[in-house]
Amino acid sequence: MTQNAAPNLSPAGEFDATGIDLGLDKAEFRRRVENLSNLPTLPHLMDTMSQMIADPNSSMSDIGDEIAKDQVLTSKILRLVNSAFYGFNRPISTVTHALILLGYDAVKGLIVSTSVFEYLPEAAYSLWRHSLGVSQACRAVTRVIDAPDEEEMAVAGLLHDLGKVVMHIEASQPYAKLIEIAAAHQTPLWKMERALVGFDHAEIGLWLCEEWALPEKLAVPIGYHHKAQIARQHRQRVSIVAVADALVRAMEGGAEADLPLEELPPCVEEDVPLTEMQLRRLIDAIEPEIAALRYLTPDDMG
Amino acid sequence: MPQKALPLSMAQAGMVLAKPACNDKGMVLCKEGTELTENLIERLGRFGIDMITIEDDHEVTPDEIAARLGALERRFAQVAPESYLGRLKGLLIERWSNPPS
Ligand SMILES: [Fe+2]
Ligand SMILES: [Fe+2]
Repeated sequence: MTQNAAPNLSPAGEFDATGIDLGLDKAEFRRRVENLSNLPTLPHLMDTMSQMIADPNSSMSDIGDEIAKDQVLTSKILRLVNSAFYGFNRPISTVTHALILLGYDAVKGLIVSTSVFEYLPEAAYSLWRHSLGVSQACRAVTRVIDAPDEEEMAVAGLLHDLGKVVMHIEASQPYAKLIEIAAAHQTPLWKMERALVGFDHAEIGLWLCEEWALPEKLAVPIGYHHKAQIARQHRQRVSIVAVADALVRAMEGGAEADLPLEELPPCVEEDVPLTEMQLRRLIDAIEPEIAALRYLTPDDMG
Repeated sequence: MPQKALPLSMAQAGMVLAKPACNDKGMVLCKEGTELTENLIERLGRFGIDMITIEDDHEVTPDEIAARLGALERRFAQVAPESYLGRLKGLLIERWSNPPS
């Protein structure tokens, strides 16, 4: 493989990918990601859950019982919500209890998270730490600006880079190489993804949310966290995730080798205005969380 | 004294609690200032403690500070100082330049 033409950013910020070879062409990369062949099928329970939620005759405990039939999934969900890293401060002992405290949408997101992260290759587990960090940071930002639905925001943070998780699972080597190239050129990962494979992890995340019937309150922040300015709805949720992601990466909690931060679009500042005091409070809240996450091992994943 | 939070599984005898270790219900099982022993660590585990905060006596060297700030500069190379994120960078420089001692 020859790689003599060094890629460059044009004045418009477009990346010239001439001469870069990921060992997989764009179409094949896309085909692998779309096939999801290394992931278990999870729509079944998600569909059942959606139907039951829509059915006035099923109660929350009926739905809890339905999820609880899957004992492996149940124990994983309970382990996650009760772990010190997820940040819920009361013990949650049953799925129904989780549904009551966290709500349907958050629990749906947790089902996706526990089903997907366990397949993340060990080499990429810094993404798991990053995701937990952003989840915590979403909580902190939501609290500081007094926005609603902290639990849903925590789940949106946990899943914001879902598209990366799936690329690591379905195309692990070419994707690892893509990350290396982004680091070598100090280019934001989503831009490098667009240049080399034609789509980015936020788009993949949005597509997966649709496949798996996740609510728009989760799907939109996941799908637009790098392009808040074009989100038509749930803009504040998108902005909270964008700020949380930036805070975590700024404080050494990035998923990949330190990639450069990008300026956030003005709408993010409008949606999440932060005074210096609030910014200091956020740093105080998030920095120790990120430090503690350094001790997380691959065993704690999924 | 700087503090750091860590999972109980990483705790070692000799570490000193910087914050009380509390269970889920907020009951204090061990006061701050307590020096951990093997025995105590095991007991905290049995009481369901999974995170503790300890005193961190690691002295940050000037080289470590410089390396950390250098990485911060690279990370923020594309961010203007007066922007939304630029303000965050300013606060982090302030904080990381003078670690608490
Ligand atoms: Fe992202
Ligand atoms: Fe991220």
